[in-house]
Parts: sequence; structure tokens; C-alpha cells
Amino acid sequence: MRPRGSIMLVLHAHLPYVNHPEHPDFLEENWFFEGVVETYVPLISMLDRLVKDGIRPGLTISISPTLGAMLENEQLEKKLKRYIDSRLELMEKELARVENDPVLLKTARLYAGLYSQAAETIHKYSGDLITPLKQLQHSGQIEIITTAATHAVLPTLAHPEALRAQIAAAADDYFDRFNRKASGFWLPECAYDPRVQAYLRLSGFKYFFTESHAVRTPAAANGVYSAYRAPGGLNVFARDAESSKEVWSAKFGYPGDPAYREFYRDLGYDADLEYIKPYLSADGSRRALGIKYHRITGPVDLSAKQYYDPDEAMAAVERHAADFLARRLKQADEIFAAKGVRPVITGCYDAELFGHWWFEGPAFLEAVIRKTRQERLPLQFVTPEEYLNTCPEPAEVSPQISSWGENGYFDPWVNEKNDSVSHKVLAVTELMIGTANRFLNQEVSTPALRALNQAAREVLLAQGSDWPFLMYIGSHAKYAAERVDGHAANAARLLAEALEKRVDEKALAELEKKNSLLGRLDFRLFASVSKF
Amino acid sequence: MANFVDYSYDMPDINELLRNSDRAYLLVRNPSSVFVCWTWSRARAEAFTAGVYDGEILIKLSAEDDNSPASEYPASWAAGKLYLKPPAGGRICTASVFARKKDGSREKLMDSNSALVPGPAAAPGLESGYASAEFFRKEPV
Repeated sequence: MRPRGSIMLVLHAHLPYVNHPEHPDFLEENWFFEGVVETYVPLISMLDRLVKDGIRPGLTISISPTLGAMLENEQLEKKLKRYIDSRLELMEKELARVENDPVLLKTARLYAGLYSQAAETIHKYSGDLITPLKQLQHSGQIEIITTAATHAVLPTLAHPEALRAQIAAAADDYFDRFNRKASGFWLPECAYDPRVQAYLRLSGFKYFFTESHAVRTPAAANGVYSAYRAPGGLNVFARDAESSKEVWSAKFGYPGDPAYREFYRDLGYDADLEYIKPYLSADGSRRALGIKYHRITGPVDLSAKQYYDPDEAMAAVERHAADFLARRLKQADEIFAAKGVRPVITGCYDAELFGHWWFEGPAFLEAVIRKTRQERLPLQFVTPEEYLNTCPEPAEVSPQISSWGENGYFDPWVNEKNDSVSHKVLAVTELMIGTANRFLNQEVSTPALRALNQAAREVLLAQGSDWPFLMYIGSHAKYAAERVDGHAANAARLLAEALEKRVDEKALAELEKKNSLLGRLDFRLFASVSKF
Repeated sequence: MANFVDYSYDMPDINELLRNSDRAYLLVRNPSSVFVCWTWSRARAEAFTAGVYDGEILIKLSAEDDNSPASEYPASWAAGKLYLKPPAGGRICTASVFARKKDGSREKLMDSNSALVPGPAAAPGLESGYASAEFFRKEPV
């Protein structure tokens, strides 16, 4: 059956780089552990199941260089194993505690299965979760793309050298991780300004994604339902807000269904303190443990939430998958009737929504893909390269400056709650550029070269989007501000040491171990554009 | 465990490290607001405190394709930052920082980087699909 439309699902997997080898237990490292157990492993398992059943998923997954580095970090791998082991131990106790309660027992078994699955998958791939993703891409099941080196919101970087460094370092990192050149680039926060194009092209990228209103121009005759060619030759896909909203929104979308698991009610806050003490932080303060026995229920207080029923949740998944596909078919037909084109519907989501926040998300994705195949629906899942290989010549469009952030521009990253760090990031970037220019054509001693490269790494880390964003939403804000200060100070100090030829090699080695990403980063990426 | 960053050596004061020159930057927040921030070198800060310059500086926002300054905003030299309304959307803007000397003459101290301000044509839809907040938000919405 000829497809009436194409669906391009893009999952953007990203976490900020958090690695504190100096601490046995560090609160913010849990973001990574939760991401692995609740999102990355379930997604990999879901993809494996589909492939095993002869169904090609056709998903596009963006893996940020910071997440890639954490997935390959041996120190974090050991901590992750400890995290999973402790959860398995807790689930053993939980299975015993609730054995006479059939409702809770069903959910407890689900969590025991979740942690076992994580342990088995990690063991199967010897701790390296990049391997299965690489295999899936190699066999043509999915397409993997990258994003800026440390997920900087590119339009908020004042210096073109910083743009180039964020993009070029990401391209090199992708090549080293996936053994091939990257074609696609996820603009962090879909934040676009026209300066990014030249650097994307220089680094060999062929396409990127933007927010819907970036292509709200008369030249974009098909709205967000076609690929376009941006000036300079790169292809651009714009996010379809309609299909995205149904999935991401707790208020309007599927994840808010009363049958789904409630995110905010957690055993870490419900259980007797003595009972869960071994699984809390060293200081014994309560925190979410990821074990949640309640369902959303409805607009009621957390204390009034009812118990979760996995079977009811799975029934909702089936309903929502069917509804999602029916809506896409209707959408495709309406676009065809209005514009005479078979649309590509680009649905972009943060990967961590699936599993971590929307617990049933991976099951929903699997159901959507299976149903399309099993019910022979006239829809096809395509990856960007596939689509570009077969679509008509894209029309030329000049995308507009935009992001997918609140209000459509850069408010979350440039505001009164986080502007105290903006100047430091910009100033240390300028310092880096000046020093790179100075050393550009010089023979540099090995310690100085290491110091300059680590300084470049620290500058990139200071530029990450996550720090100002956390300050904006008031979550882990102190930690975020300290990270910016710390990276900026590390960079400034390393640059001074390189200039003064007095590198503290012991301290440098510790920093290289701690902030260990972008393995072959070259400080010269920061040299002035005119000198490069 | 407390949220803190335990660096391998004493963290130098980043503000001190960066006080080697005057700097001004302009960042775009949205079509109707840009952020301008500035810092002074030690020498310039001393000049302000010694009264070489008037304590009130002037930030001028101008569009690249239009040489006449579109808007001027006074600020305290020590304020370090200001949110301003850009002269026009869809144009590349620069902020220039001026100070008044004792003799009443104005001196241009520095220019910021240039940045493209969004034009009105690119107004976002009512329903942005922003999702990133959810991962870190640990309390009910």
C-alpha cells in the first residue's frame, strides 16, 4: 500500500556531563543512573525486540557528546552497577514486603524486572551501551545524529569561534564514537540563528532540525511538512507541534492519562525512613528512589493518588498508540487535500521523556511502530537520510531565529535568574580565543598542550545549556552556578599556566580524569575565525 | 550529600582572573528584549572610582544597517548588566558603551559583539513543545 505520509520520530538523548569521581555518591550523578535504567536501556530493549520480530523501527536518535562520554566512562559504569545492585536489593525487600498485596506486588515485580533488565543489558554489552546503538545504526534500523559538544544554546554564544568549536568538536566526537561521519545535527533546544549554518556545513553536516516557527515564512509553502534547503545548501526539518504536543504534554497529551504512573509520588518519600535509609544519600535525607506505586489518578493531591495497575496502563498505551496513528493519518490526508503533498511529520522529543518521566513511553513507541506494521497502515517511518534520498528537491527557505524554549526564543537561558553567569562564560570564551590565537602557530610543550586542550574542554563545559536552565527553573541552581564558575575558573587558570609555562601537571591530570570527554579536542578550534 | 563541587585544587576567583580588559556583550533574549552586560578592567574601574568618568554611563543600541543610534539607555557604571528593548527586529544590533569625562566630553569605551534580533515574522505558535523542563523538575507541576 502506498504510504499517505511519512513519520520521522526524533528522540534527543542528552544529559549534562556530571562526573564526580572524588565522591562515592553524588546526588546529580543520579540523573545519569535514572536515565540509563528508565530510558536508555528500555529504548534499546524495545528496538532490539522490534528488530528481532522483523520490524524496522526507523527512528532517529540524537546522542549528545556529553551523554556519550558518560555512557563510556568506566568510573560512572562502576557507580551505575552499584546503583542498580542497590535497587535490586531494595526490590527483593519490596517483593517480600508486599507479597500479600496483589495490587502492589504486580508493580513491585515490574520494577524488579526493570532493574534486572538494566543489569542484564549492561552485562550483555560489557557496560558499553553505545555498542547496541552502533549496531542498530550499522544494520540500518535507526539513524544516530549528534548535537553541540556540550549542548550549548548556540545563538547565546557571542563568539563565532565558540560556535565553530561546539560544532566541530561534536563532529569529531561522533566520528570517534560511531566510526562514521555524522550527517545530522540536533540544534540544542532547537535554537537557531543563521550563523550556525556555515559551521555545520564546514563540519560536514547535511541537515538539522528547527522549531516550527523557524520556517514560518512565505517560502515554506508546505509548512513543517517538507524538508527545505537552507541558504548554503543544508537541509532543514521543522518540528511538527501537533504530533509533539500529544506526546510530551502532561496536561493535554497522553502522559497525563489517569492510568499512567505518577512521577511525583515516590517510595523515597513514602516509606519508613529507617527502612529506606541504606538507599538514600549519605546524609540520610529523603530523595526519590525511582520506585513509584501510584498512578496519576486525576487532578488530586499527591496523598490521594490511587495505586498503579500495570495492566490498565498497558491498555491505555494501546489506546493511545491507536489514537496517535489515527491522528497522523487524518493529518496526512488533510495536508494532502490542502497542499497536494504527501507530508513528512517530524515529531521531536527529549528521549528522557520516554521511560523516566512518562514511564509507559517506551511501550507507547513500540506499540505505535508495531501497529503501523501489523495493521498495514499507509504510514511509513523514515529517517532523515532516507527521506532526503527520495523526496523531491527541497525548496529554499531561510529559517528564522528561534528555539523550542518557552516563548519561542531564548528566555530560559537569558534572564534575571541566570544572567550572573553569562558574562563569565562569554569572558572566559574570549580569553580562550585570545590564547588559542597566541599559540596557534607555536610549538607547544606537551604539558602546555594538555593544559590548553583541557582549558578548551572546560570552556565548552561552561557553555552548556543545562546550567542556566537549571538556574532558571530553580532546580539544583546552586550546583549549576558552581559548575559554570568552576569550569570558567579551571579554564582561566589552565590558560594562565600555559602562558606562564608552569603547568601543574598533577592537578591537570586530575582534571583530565574528572572532566574527561571530547577525547581529541584541539584548543586550536577556538582560534579566531579569520586566523583559522 | 550536599550539592557542592569539590575541585581538585583551590578555585581561583574567576571574576579576578577575567579583569584584564573591558568587556561588553550583547545577547538576544527575544524580539523585544536584549541583554547587555559589561565588566571593567582594574584600571578602568579605578578611573571610575577616582572620578575620571561620571558614574553614569550610556549604552547605545544601534542596528548594523542604520548608523544612527536607535536607542540610548543610561546606567550606573557598576551595574554590569541591563535588559533593553532593541531598536528593531530582524536586524543585527550592537551595543556601545560611552562614559562622560570631567570636561563634559563623551568617550566611547567599547563595543559589544553583534547579534541578530528576531523579526516579528517568526513569532512562535501558542503551543510550544518545550519538554526539557520535565527531566529536572522534581515536584508536581
